[in-house]
Amino acid sequence: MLDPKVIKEVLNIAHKLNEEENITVILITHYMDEAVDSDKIVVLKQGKILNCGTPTEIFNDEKTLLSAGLTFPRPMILSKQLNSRGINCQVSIKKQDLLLSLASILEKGEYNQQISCFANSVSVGETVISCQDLSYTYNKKTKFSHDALKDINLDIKQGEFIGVIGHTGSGKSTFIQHINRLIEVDTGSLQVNGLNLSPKKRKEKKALKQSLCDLRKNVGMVFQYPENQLFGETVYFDVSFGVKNFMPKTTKKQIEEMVSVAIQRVGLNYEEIKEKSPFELSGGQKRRVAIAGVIVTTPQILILDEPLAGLDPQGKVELINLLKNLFGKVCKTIILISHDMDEICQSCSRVIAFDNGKIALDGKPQEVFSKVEELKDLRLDIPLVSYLVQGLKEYGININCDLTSEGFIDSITRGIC
Amino acid sequence: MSKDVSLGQYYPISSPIHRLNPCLKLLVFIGFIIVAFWGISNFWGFGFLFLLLLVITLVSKVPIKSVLSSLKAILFLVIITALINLFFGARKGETDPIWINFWFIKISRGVIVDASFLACRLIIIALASGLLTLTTSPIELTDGLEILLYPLKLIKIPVHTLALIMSIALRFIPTLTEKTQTIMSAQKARGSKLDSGNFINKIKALVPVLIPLLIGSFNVADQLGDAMDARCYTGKNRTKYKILGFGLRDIVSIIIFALAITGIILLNIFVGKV
Ligand SMILES: Nc1ncnc2c1ncn2[C@@H]1O[C@H](COP(=O)(O)OP(=O)(O)OP(=O)(O)O)[C@@H](O)[C@H]1O
Ligand SMILES: [Mg+2]
Repeated sequence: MLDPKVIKEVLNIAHKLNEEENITVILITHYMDEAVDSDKIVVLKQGKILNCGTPTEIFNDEKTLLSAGLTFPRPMILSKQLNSRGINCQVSIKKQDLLLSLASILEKGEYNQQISCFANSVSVGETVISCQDLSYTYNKKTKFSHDALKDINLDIKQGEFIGVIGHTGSGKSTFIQHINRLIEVDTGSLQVNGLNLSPKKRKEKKALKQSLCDLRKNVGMVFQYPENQLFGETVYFDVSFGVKNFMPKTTKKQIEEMVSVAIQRVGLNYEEIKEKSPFELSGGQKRRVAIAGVIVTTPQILILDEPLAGLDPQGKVELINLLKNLFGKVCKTIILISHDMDEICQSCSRVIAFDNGKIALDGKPQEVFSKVEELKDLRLDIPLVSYLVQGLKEYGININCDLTSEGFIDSITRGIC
Repeated sequence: MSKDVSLGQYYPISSPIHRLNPCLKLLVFIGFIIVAFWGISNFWGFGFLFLLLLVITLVSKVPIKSVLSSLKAILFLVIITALINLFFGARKGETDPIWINFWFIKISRGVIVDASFLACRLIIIALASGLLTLTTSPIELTDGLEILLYPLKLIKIPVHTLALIMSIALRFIPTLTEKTQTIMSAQKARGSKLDSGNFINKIKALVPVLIPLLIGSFNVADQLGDAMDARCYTGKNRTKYKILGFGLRDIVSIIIFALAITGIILLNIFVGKV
C-alpha cells in the first residue's frame, strides 16, 4: 500500500498527463476524495452503469450513490453533518470549498468542545508492551544491511487504541512483528505481557520457547491483505485453524462455538458461510473471514497492519466499526497501522508516527495532528478536521477540539448558539 | 534495494570487468573450462591459471573473500572426487612408484598427481563461475546467453522466448520470497508450527503456506500476462532497453585473454618438458 504522499504524486502525474499532454485518463478508485478531481465520474454496479456525470451531479444523487455501496467524499459528509446540526455551510465535495464556506459563516473567536469522544471511554490499565532501545537491522553484516528500527523506546498500556502512521518503509511492520516474535529482538529489550522477549540467560530463553505459543495466542496479528493468506477448503476450516493450533485440547463442540462467535463478530452469517470456500467470497468478506481467523482465540492485544487498504468505502466504515466493537470487549489493546489519517484520527486514543526507523511523534491524536509542519516533513497527510482547524485559524477562528468530526461539530455548534 | 535476492550473488559495483560484454565473459568462462580440462597437464599450468584468476579478481574489485566463498558449495564434491580418484584411479601399465602401501591400500605417485589435478580443475571452474556471477547481473547473463544461443534459432528453437522466461523467473524470485515470508509469518501468528515442532509437523505446516502461495502466483502470472497484452507484446521485433555494446574495451580484453590463455598453454607445454 502506498503512503499518502506517493498516492498524491501518482495522481499529480495523471492530472499532468491530462492537462498538459491532453491524454484521456481513466482512474479506477475506491476513494471518493480521489474521484472529486475528475471531470466525469462513472458509477458501476454488478456490471451495469448506474450513474454518469460530473462529480457534483454524482455526489448529489444520494440514492444512486448509496445503492452502489459508495459514500460521499469526506468534506461532503462533514458539511452534511454540520447542516443537520443547524450550521448552514455550503455542501462541498472539496475540502478547500468547505474551508471557505465555514470561514465566511463563522464569526471570529474561540470555539471549545465539551463532549468527549469514543476512544477515551476505555480505561487505561497497566503496561502490556514495553521496549527499550529496540533496534533491528535487516541482512546484518552483508552489503545489503539496512537499519529498519533505531533505538525505539515505547510503553503501551492496556486499554489503548493505538494508531501507527509513517511513510512507506518507515519500519512500522518491522516494529509490530517484534511484538509476537515473528522477528527476534536483535538489540535492545522488549517485554510483552510480562514476558521477556529479549532473553539473555539460558533459563529465560528456555522459558520463552515454551511460552511462545501463549504469546502468539495473546497477541493476534492481522497482516496486510490478510485475504491472501486464506487456505482452507471451507471458511469453517480456515477460521478454526488458530484454535486447533493454540488449544489442541478443545473439543469439537467448543471449536464450533468459538468459530461461530468469531464469524458473527465480524458481521457475517455463520450458517450461511461456514461451508463455503473462502475463495468464492468477495474481497471484503474474505478480509473479514481472515480477521475472524485471528480473533477466534480472543487475543488480548490485536495488531492490524493496514487492514483498510483496498476496501471500498462501505467496507472501510464497517471494518472500523467492527474494530470499535471489539475494542474493550474482546481485545483490550488494539494497534492499528494505517495510511488513512482521517480514520486514525477518528478512532485512536494515541497516535505514533514512525520516520526512518525512529519514533518521530507520539501522543493524543489532537496533539500529533496539530503539528502540521512536522507531519509534512514526515511525508504524511493531515486529516480533514485538522486541515479545517488550521485553515480557520488564519481567519481568526480558533477551534479547540479533539480533531474528531464529532468534536469539531460540537465545538462549532456551541460557539454559534 | 535491500531485499533484492534476484541479484543472486551479484556484487553491484563498477569495474572494467563488470562493464565487459556478458557474451564475452561467457565465452571466456567456457574457454577457462576447456583449458582447465584439456589444455593443461602439469602444476605450472594450474599455477598460471590461478594467477590469471587472481589478476581478474583484482581488476574486478570484488573482495577476494567473496570469490573464495564460491568454493564452499563445491568443497565437498572436490574432496569426494579426489578421494575416489585416489583409491580407485590407479594408473596401469606404467612405471609408477608406490608411495603408500598399507593393508589393501596402494597409493602411487601418479594417482596422487591425478587426484590433485582433478581437484585443481574443479576449483578453477568454481572460482571462474563465481567470478562470472559476481561481476555479471542475472539479467545481463540471460541477455548474453540469448545472443550466444542465437544460432539455435535456425533450427526453430525459440531462444528469445526461453530467455524471456528466464528473466521473468529471475524477476519474480524476490516477489515470491517476500510473499512466502509474509504468508509464513501470518500462519505462524495463527499458531502454525513452522518454526517449532518436529519434522512431520513442519511438513504438515507447509500446506497452509503453499496453497495461498500457489494461488497468489497464479494471480501474479495472470496480471503479468494482462500487462504484457496491454502493451501489445507479441514476442516479435522486440528491442532492448540496454543494448549490449561491443566496444574497444571488449576487443582489447578479448585479445588480452586470448594471449594470456595461449601463453599459459604454451608455458604449460614448455615447462612440462623441462
Ligand atoms: N525482509 C526484509 N529484508 C530486507 N529489508 C527489509 C525486509 N523487510 C523490510 N525491509 C526494509 O526495512 C525497512 C522498513 O520496512 P517496513 O516493512 O517495516 O516498513 P513499513 O513502515 O511497514 O512500510 P509500508 O508502509 O510500506 O508497509 C524498509 O526500508 C524495507 O525496505
Ligand atoms: Mg508495512
